[in-house]
Amino acid sequence: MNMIMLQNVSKVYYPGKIPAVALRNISLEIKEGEFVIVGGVSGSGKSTLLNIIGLMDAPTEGVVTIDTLEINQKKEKSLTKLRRDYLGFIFQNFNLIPTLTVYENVEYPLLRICKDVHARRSLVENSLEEVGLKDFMKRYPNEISGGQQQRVSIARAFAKQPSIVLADEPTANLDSANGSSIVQIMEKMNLEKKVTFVLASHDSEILSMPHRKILLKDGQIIRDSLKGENYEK
Amino acid sequence: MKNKIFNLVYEMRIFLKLTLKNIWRNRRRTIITMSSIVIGTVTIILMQSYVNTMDLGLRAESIQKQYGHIQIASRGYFESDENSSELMMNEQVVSKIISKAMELDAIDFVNTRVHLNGIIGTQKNSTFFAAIAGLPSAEGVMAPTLIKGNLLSESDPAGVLIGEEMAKKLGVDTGDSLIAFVGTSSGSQEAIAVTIRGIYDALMPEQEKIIIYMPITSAWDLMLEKKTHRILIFLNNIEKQDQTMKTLNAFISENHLDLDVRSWETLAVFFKKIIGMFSGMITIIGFIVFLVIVFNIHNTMHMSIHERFREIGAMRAMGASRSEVIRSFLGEGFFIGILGAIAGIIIASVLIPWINSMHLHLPPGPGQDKPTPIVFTPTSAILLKALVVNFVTAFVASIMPAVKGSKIRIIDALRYV
Repeated sequence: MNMIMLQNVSKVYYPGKIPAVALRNISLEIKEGEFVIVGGVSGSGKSTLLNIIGLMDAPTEGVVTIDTLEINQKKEKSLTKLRRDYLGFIFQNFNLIPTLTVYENVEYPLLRICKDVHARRSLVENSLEEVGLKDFMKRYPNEISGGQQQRVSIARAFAKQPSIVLADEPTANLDSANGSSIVQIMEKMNLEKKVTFVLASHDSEILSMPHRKILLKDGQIIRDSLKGENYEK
Repeated sequence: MKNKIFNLVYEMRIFLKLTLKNIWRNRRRTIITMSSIVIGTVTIILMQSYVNTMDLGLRAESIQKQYGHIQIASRGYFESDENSSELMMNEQVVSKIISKAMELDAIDFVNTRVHLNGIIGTQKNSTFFAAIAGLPSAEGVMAPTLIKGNLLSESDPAGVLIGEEMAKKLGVDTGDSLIAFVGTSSGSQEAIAVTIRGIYDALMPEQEKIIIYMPITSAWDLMLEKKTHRILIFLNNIEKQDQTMKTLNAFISENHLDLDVRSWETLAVFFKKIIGMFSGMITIIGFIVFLVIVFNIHNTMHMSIHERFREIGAMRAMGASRSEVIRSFLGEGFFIGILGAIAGIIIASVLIPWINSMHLHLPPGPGQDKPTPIVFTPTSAILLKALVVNFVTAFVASIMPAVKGSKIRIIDALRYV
């Protein structure tokens, strides 16, 4: 079953008088539980693609479908609800709320979808345990390392048990040891929880992972390993 | 149900924690913003408390020294500028009204007054005077502050009170005799000898130069008739003013008397003007304070939103609605406003007794020869008003930035450095 489907999606920005084409006629299908790595140089359209899949940006043309729901023409309120219910995000800069503890950061997205305090507590604790940070629950983001912060953001993304997790350059701000650890956690989560994973990166370690890889260049898919195209070519 | 309430309280706790921590995040800026609210609150409280002092003082002065609570006079008298003898009440009418008034529980005492103009002087000097003649017992309550001598007395019908300025002008002192001349309604000139029983001191030097107080019996001797311009009624409870007026009006109507009953508020034009002027000044100052707070909060919220662009983006990406973002910033505006206003009230509550204890004075106003004391009389209504006005202003000022913050595109917010 397709979890994400893009049909002839294009995105054009108008930063000045000359339009900038970020995505050109992208058609893509990602199955439920699939782990997809989107690669490409800076400016190739990776982040734009993730933003469109993440319902944070609308395509100029084309159709986006998430879990059989056609997204085009949906109002902001519906998009917010879809993001809340379907999507988890892992950001390059972690984007933890500095005024909340590790526990509260993971709990924050759950406040809207899990109204039972005890159930919520169990989800948060399990999620933090899975990333090995249960003992850091009461700390604030500035009291833990960058790698730990990214693990908190992974726990936050997975705590609400989303259908899709989108990660934009999750290891870009980490050293190689922390980067590897984060990659392992994400793979583990994908395997255990069968969550569809779309990861944008130009990290060589990530790109060498044995998963489906899509290469973008100038807003176009130039290779898709699913179609037997060699990514390394 | 219990679980729902528990959950709601828990969510509120998170909301409060997030809001208060965000306020505390940039504490220096928060303190500066709150300071403007504190200053605004203190300013409004001080101004209102000062006007309240003026209001209470002038109200008491107007009732006790000038008008009483209720006045009764011949119809047309209150509209006429002159103390015409044609608009005086005769002895029978006056005694009828006084008898009726004294039956009522709310009445404290009654005075009757006659107003005369003439010339007063010694053999060497003379000056114009305007006499206020009343019942000595009542005039004892209504009289201005004496700096020398005694109040009017029934046992001394020739004894009068003159102002300090008149005493200086005529070169006289207590115990000295003066001759007072007036023109009667029949056109003749009458004169009586009076003795200075006391010298009074008033706020306005002009009053001291012209006004003299004398027993009504002396005025009747000068006028050659026992008529009265006004009946002044003093109540023991101002709450009963309207009811007393109704009763007196009914009595006047039943007895077909051509009289007019007025409350002190309708007569005290000067009081109304002064209070109106000060209220106007407060409104202007209040508006300036309002603008300062609005700009300050607006600016603070804008800076706060810019600092938290990425955070807002992340919150929105995770499923926070626009209204949640608005609520978060409005919460900050609300707390900054209410904490600032409470701090302002505490500071004003400490400051006011301290200033009052210093016995400060303003320089004499136009036409006055004495400085005006600076006394603040705050009331719980004034404090509450300052609290509400300031925190509502702070809250309202944060609406626009909050709405703007909620409209940020998520991708722009996440990209923001």
